[in-house]
Amino acid sequence: MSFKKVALIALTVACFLTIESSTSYADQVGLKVGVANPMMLAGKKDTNYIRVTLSGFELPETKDRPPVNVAIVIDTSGSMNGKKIAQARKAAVAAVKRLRDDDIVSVLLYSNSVRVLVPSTKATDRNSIIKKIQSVKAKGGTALFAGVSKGAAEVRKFLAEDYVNRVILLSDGRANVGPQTPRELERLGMSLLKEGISVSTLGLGLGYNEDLMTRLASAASGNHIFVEQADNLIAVFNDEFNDLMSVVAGDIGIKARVADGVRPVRVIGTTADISGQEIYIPLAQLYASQERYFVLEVEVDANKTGTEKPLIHVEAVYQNMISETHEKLAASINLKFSDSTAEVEKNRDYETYAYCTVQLANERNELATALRDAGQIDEARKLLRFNIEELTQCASSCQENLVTDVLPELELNVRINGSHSELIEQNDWNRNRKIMRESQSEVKSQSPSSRSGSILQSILGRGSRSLKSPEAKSSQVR
Amino acid sequence: MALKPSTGGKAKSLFNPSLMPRRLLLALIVIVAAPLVLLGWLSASTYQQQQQETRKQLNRFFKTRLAEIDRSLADVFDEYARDLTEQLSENSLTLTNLQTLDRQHPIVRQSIWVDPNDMQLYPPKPSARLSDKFVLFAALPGITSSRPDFAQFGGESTGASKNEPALAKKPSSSSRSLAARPRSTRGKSRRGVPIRSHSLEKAESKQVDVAGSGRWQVWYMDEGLQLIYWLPLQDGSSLGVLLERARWVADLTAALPDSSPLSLSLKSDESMTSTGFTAIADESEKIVYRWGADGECLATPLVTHTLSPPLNSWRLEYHNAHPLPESSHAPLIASLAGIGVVLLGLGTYVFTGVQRQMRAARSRVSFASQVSHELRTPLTNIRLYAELAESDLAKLPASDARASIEERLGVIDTESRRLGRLVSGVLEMVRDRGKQQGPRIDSVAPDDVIDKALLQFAPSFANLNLQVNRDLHASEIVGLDSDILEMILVNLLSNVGKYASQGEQMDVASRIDNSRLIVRVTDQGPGIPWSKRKTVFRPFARLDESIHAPSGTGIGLTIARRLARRHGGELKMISIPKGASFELKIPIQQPASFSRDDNDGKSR
Repeated sequence: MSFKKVALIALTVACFLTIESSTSYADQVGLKVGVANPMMLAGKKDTNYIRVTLSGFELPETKDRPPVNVAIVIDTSGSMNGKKIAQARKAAVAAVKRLRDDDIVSVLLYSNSVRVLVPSTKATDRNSIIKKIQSVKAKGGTALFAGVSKGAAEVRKFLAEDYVNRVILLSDGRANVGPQTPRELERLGMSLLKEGISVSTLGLGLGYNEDLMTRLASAASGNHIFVEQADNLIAVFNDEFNDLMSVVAGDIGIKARVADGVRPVRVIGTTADISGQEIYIPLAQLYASQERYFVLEVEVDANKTGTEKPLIHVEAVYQNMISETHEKLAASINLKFSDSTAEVEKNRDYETYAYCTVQLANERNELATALRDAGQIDEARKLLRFNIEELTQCASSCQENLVTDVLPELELNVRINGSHSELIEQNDWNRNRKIMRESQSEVKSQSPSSRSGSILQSILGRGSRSLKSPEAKSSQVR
Repeated sequence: MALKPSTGGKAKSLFNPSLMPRRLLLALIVIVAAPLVLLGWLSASTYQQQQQETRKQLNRFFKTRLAEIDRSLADVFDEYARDLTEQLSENSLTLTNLQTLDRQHPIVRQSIWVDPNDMQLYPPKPSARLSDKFVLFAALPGITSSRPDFAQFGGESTGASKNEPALAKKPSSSSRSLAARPRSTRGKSRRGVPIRSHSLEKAESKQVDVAGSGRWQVWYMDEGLQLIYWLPLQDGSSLGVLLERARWVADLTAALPDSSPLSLSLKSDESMTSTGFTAIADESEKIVYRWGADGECLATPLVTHTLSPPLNSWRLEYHNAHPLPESSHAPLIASLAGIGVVLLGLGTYVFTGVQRQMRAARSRVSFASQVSHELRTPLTNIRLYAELAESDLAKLPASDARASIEERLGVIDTESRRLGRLVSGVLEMVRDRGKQQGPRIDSVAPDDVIDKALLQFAPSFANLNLQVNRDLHASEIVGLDSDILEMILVNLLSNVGKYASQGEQMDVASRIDNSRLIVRVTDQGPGIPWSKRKTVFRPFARLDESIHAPSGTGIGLTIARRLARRHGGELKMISIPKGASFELKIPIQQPASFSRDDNDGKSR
């Protein structure tokens, strides 16, 4: 990731597509920019939300999936002893069995220290790797930071653009050797992302630090999954590898430039790099058929009615993992201004509006977790109820305007917030907090394994286990 | 008479049967324990010395190992310096390029561009709501104001030591700050960047023109120590790169060995590392990463090594609770135990031998004392009947036969007295010294006692033609034990009769001097060599052991001296030109409290 490379990218003959709506050729990533309110009230400084969406294409059947370069980093601290380590072994073995000869794998164990069980190697001799994994035993402390560091170092040995580079971190406990604050892990994740290494975190049991694990995963463009029962570990590993093996684009950089008179405020749920009028969002990979979107909050200065002016220009560069070329996408969108509130309402982009609502609700959901942490259950409940109201209202207005694609997403989020409002009431906050953090991370990162439903279903299954009748609840909310 | 039936009592041994073995036992314990303790102490101290020596060697070994690790860590930072210099000098210096560097270089957290007047050219002020970036932006002026001062050196050869005082002048910032030069200037020299004097014209373009080698700045912020790499540019401005702390910590961790059994055994002797672990600790002495065995963390590590600049507030530690193998105690204890057993065996052997001999001696002594007691009764009877016969004989008319019988009865009397003295002597010998009776004080005139003793020997001295010269001046009545005095004199006189009869003369002198009675018996016989003056008082010591020597038991002088001492006095041999002379000194008491009649009855 150097200046050189940027220059190279610039030189690459890429398709310059300045199109309003989505453009999605086969085997090419789609870039779509939408704004919640394409028409804004004139004469008033107001906030608007922009949704930048990248959509992955289907994996072509004729071509092999891109090879992966993965480090499996397993917690072997004393708390893993027993069933957990046994399941972790099985899960890792099952994962290794799925690899192809041109994949690269390394297996690391960490407790007080780190042990490189299988140094980074081509997965040609999978049997000997499996044999090594089966000898793993658990004992000692939790040097999580060092585990990630060494895991990333193993991946780095064969770091290549045409590989899917990932560290999969399994932990069941709090880091107690070495750096251990969520912030430090987050910053490490951000640094690894710059190299194109993503980190997925699997939290096993109820002892791990969910803040640390979610922040690390989201900073490094990975998934975070809460694995309550060790029995589910194999399935979770499987899902993670499904994701890993369905990557169609990597090393993605989204660079957006808002027009003058527009001030970028933030990217919801993501620590983006905003300087002046420019927003930069790095992303490690895009999975097949994945719709990955970011919601930008902008402040638009007052404008005269009837004017139309540019809002944002988005450029995205990425490595196409299938064609193994660098590609560049661009899209931009304009804003109109009107005096009439009705006209503004009428022109609303309900799809974008819905997804923005989801992300905003998710942000409030995170705030609810913080409130519950502080013991302010009432405030947290109020916030979640507000989320449900907002999402339900959004769903109904979408239905009115015949935008039905977004309804399942909205309904899912209504149910998530509904089950969360139950979770915050319950005593088992340590466990429930992990459920909340996991679903927040899922909504934020929109990984296909969660889209496919298995994970979110299990979240909802866990969450609504305490509900008397989840169906009744959600219909009542609706 | 001379014999006192009470003196012996029940015969007690010379050796106390209970006391002596306890002493012996004590001696035995000392004999066994002392060498053991000594040996144990000696070997323990040598062991300790050896341990210390080994520990020192180990420490040296680990110190060098830690230093090696330090070098490999310093390489990480040199690599950063080289890489950043390369990155920065490869592209033209524009704000966009700096921004791209920030976004794409994994180690870069924030690059900073400051012009010579401390004006911050990059980064621009971020939007207020991005808290993280904003906080960092707010901290930047502090960092830039205390950045390494390149201007001071200009194009001259660089000296790191000058750098510190320059920084010390600026204590205005609340944070601690110090700068250090990277140890290697590989990047610069490899690229061949010319070092020009700062007085040269300003670089005409925005092309990065590195004017010297970079320097490290250390700054405390956020999680702790942060590193900033500064490069001086030709136009006087400086480029700084704030490194991502989490990243360089991760890179250091990755550069350090892991805990695989293989990599450990490659590093060093496995026995060394099997119990210890090495750790890298940050500026707050918290362990960042450790590798090696799963040992507990010690409060004070065995060996520490401070990292080289710029990370000189970090250190490497080697922890090991048991750095040395424990096994070397066992043979020591075993050999000590072996020596102890041998000593104990020897001691017990000696102890039982001595005990057996003592038991035999005790039984001999008790036999002797019993026999002596048994002898007394017939002896008393013999004397009694001899006296009775004498008094009967006196009633008969004088005739030759009577005279002859009287004479023979006299011999019987004399010989039985002699035998009585012998028996008393034996009893005195075997008397338990611990339970000696004190003297029985009578009121007598010492001269009377002397006369009485001389009278006993008168017949035998007459036979030997020995003339006694008496020089007696102690005729007053004093308090002393007449029996003891008489027995001493009898022993001395019998010696004169036995050994100095050819001297033809002997002197007996007495006087009272300063409430002491002094009696001196001097003969003119062959004398006793001066060198033997002490030996003669020992029991069974005789000057002439040959068969021609006069008969004797060899305990006479011993008994005499012991008696004198029992009375609180002393018997000594004194030096005279010819013959032998013994002087007896015994304290006497005023006879005031004694009436002669009272004691007469008792003494008989």
